[in-house]
Amino acid sequence: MMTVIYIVYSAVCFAVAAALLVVALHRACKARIAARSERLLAQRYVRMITALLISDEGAPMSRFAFCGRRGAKSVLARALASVSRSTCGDGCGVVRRIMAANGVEGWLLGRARRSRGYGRARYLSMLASLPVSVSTANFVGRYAGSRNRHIRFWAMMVRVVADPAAALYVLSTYPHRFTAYETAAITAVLRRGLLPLACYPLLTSPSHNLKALGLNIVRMFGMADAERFLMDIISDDADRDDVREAIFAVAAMHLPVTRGEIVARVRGMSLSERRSLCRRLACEGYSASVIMRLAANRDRHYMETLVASYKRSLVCCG
Amino acid sequence: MLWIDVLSVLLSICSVALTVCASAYAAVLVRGENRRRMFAEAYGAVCDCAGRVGISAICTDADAEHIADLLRVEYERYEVIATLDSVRNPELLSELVERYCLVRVDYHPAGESAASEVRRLYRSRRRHFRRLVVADVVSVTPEADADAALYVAAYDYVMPVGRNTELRPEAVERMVAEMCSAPQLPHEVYASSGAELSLFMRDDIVACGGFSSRARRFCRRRDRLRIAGVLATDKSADSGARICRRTAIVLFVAAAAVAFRTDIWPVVAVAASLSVTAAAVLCVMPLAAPHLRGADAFAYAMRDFAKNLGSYIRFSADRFQ
Repeated sequence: MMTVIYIVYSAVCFAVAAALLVVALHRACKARIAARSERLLAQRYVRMITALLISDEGAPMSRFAFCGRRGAKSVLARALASVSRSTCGDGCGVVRRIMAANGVEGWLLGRARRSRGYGRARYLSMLASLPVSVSTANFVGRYAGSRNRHIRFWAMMVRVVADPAAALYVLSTYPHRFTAYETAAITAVLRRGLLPLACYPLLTSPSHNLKALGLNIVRMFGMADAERFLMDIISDDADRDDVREAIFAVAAMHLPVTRGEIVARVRGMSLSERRSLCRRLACEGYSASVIMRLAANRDRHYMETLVASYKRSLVCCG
Repeated sequence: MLWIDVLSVLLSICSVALTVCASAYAAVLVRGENRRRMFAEAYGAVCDCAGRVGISAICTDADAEHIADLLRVEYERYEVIATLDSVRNPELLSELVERYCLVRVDYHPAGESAASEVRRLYRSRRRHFRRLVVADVVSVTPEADADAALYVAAYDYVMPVGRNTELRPEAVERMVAEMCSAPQLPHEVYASSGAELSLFMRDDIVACGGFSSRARRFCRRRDRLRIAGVLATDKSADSGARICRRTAIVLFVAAAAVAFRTDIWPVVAVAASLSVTAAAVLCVMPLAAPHLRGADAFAYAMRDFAKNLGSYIRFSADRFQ
């Protein structure tokens, strides 16, 4: 009996090993052949897309060369995504027509449907970089309840990019808390000029996600006139993360940090958080007297020496 | 002959367990690669995360080329703190001063340590090397040098980088993307494969007395973030090809001896399991050893698998205790 088990097990194992070896060999050959040709093709596609963007938008669009080849659609999709990220919303019509002529949108949707996990999230993130249609956004709505947070986030981003007018509604109804990376990804789309979002309504919104996005925008664009809203958050908000981000936004814009509300909040922080903030302030160039006002008595020596050290790039002595 | 039957069954069970572990290792690496590619498609977002995470890379006993490698990182909130002993190695200091236009600057230890071992501190006058800080220390041990650099660090996270450790392209960006994707910023980040590369929260290390402290740190599991994949490679390490060859010869001789003494089929079963293990590792070889090719890459991947297996067994043993 044992011998039979050993024989069957060995046969199965050798079959699996042979299959794995074939896969490994196939991948190695493919990688060696495809790497160079894909790089050249990507350069060629980027040149073609750029030429089409520069030329008249109304020119007739034909299928790109080599687009029927294996792997070429992936290269074209990546080229279109990278060009779209750099055009700040210009030439969306041209990109849309290229996608329609080459079937890129359908191909990406198909790949997203067939993939799983992070592979699906990757294809969805590529879709979110392109000017996709509303029907595509409706299709990816099925991934909104995915257990993988990256999939559900990028599915939401596809909906936001497909219909920017409804972006505020989609963002505010997203049921999960945004991570820093997700907030940054939305800000990157906003910076391209694709989202018609006003900053101040975000800062006064009761939604944590919208408030976090508003704070990120304020910090990114250095909107010093949002100081009043930041002070409201610092003085009234119960969420410690929002308060911390608001204080960091104030510091990033080099606004005064010695107001009573800020000092009270900073003194309520943990030692580690307070020191982290003070290091940041010292790096931003705040003076010793300003930072000392934020410190409790036992921290004063630390703050004093910290500023002296962190301004080391300014004080040359030899 | 009972004992030899028991032994062959035990060997078979072990080889099956090894095959399962190799499959899990391959699956984790493939998953990590998919994750890397996902972040690579949206790296623009990492630039906007920069307000959150700042990283100070610490290198002790580094040479000029290694410092130049570390300065190639393009992440915004990043600095390199290199320590050297100008008494033992005056040539290196003069080379760095000339190459990066270093100037001596003030340094006041910020009450966290006496840090008396820092003789002088230098920074570059060149705009594109402002992120370089050179600390001239009285070198005692590499850990003490790392402590001196730790107290100089300006950012919230420190990343000790060994002299022979070479960062993979976009390693720092990947770390930041992974950290900012977590619901809470982790206290410690480490790579599962390749050369040892970890990122620690600065205040945690300071609180436990620095790198040279004997007090062992226990970071809670939920505060640690493990990145599946290779973030750094070891320039000097032997790929392990020789060890792999020797192991294969020993295994072959043992198998022949066992086959001679007893039935051949248990030996065939163990060989089949080992072949699946080797094939699984071969499949993920480009992910585990991206800087090597051929037999060296395979040996490096096998060694990485063994290292992961060992660390998992140690971790399980710790939990069991």
